[in-house]
Amino acid sequence: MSEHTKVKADITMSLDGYIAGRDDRPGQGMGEGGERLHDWIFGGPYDDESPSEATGEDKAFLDEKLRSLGAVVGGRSTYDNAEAWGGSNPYDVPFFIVTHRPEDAPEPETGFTFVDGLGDAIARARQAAGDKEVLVMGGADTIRQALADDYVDELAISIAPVVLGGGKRLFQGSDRSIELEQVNVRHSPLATHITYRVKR
Amino acid sequence: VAARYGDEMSERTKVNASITISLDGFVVGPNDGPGNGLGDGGERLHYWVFGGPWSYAEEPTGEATGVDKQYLDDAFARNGAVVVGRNMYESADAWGGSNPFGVPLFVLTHRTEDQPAAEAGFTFVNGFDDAIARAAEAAGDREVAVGGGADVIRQAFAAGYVEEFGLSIAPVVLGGGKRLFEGFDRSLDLEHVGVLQSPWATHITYRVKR
Repeated sequence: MSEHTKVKADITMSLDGYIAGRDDRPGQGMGEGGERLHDWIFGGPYDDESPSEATGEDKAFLDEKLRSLGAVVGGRSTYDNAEAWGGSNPYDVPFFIVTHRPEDAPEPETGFTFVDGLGDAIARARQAAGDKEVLVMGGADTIRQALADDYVDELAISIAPVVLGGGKRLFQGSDRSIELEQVNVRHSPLATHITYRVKR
Repeated sequence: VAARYGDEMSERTKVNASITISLDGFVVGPNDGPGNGLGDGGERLHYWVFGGPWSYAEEPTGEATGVDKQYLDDAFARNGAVVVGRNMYESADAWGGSNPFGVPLFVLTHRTEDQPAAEAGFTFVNGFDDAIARAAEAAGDREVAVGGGADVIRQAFAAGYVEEFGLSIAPVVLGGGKRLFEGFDRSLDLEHVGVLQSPWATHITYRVKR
């Protein structure tokens, strides 16, 4: 474990800056019309009947992220909206959920660890990540806090080609200015993935 | 689209819009106004336009380079007329008193009586549809560019004029200012056309689906 374990944050947003459409909740995790944000993850419009996979540049972007992944941090509302991903950690690495109610923690075999407070979650994730990286996967509030508390070394934003017209903004109520440096861009018909280094 | 405003326009004139935003979606930082056109800290939005850092404290002298230049040159080559809002015109201090675009520039305003002398190269027009129609007429077989500010671009989207949208994203979070899509509550599907990236911006071009 090291203080220098790299922390990344990544999230998909619409052109108008929303990471979920209106009325996001369990059963409608991406909000109204928000499925379009994640078309790139499924290689095209999401279809429950025939789920498919990312292709081309989208796949390259995902593969790159998974290769370096050592542990994941996510917020409680994201966990709840995703309905706990059906009850088991969708990543192959430890997943720490930031919550004020750690007593709600599910059984350890689900692969989720509930932690009270972002600072602790990041610390535990760093420990678990070994020589790999920590990913802050959302939601917006958790990423904003991670940026505000200066944990984030690299921020990857996937921009879906859609204007949602409402929902949850990534940068809602955030009044800090942050200097970034572009590291990389990948693009497919379904998203533009821009990776930034956070300047300190 | 624009062609519906005049039968004399035989060909449909293409309308594009383009603007630079911060990663958090602002087109200007806080306190934008004359002398501080891009708002506090907003110069960083336009580093790509001047080939690197500059500030309002000192006149920018540099020019766009590399893919930034390519992106600008392409816009200049395609555009036959430009439409901007009165606020943008004022914030830019009327570009020093003469139209910098090299093609007719239409300024959308409710106070057309403020029209400057014709040789300044600005035409004041009251009403969005009129501004687009006159720009389309002036553009000939080239495109009409809607240049901003945010309110004018939102209006162009809402009225269904925009066919192609160029979004330049500067690598900065401003933390405040005017949002491009503030109060815009419609949903639009776009098609990704292309992307260019320089150290100062990522330029993404979209086609608006109908």
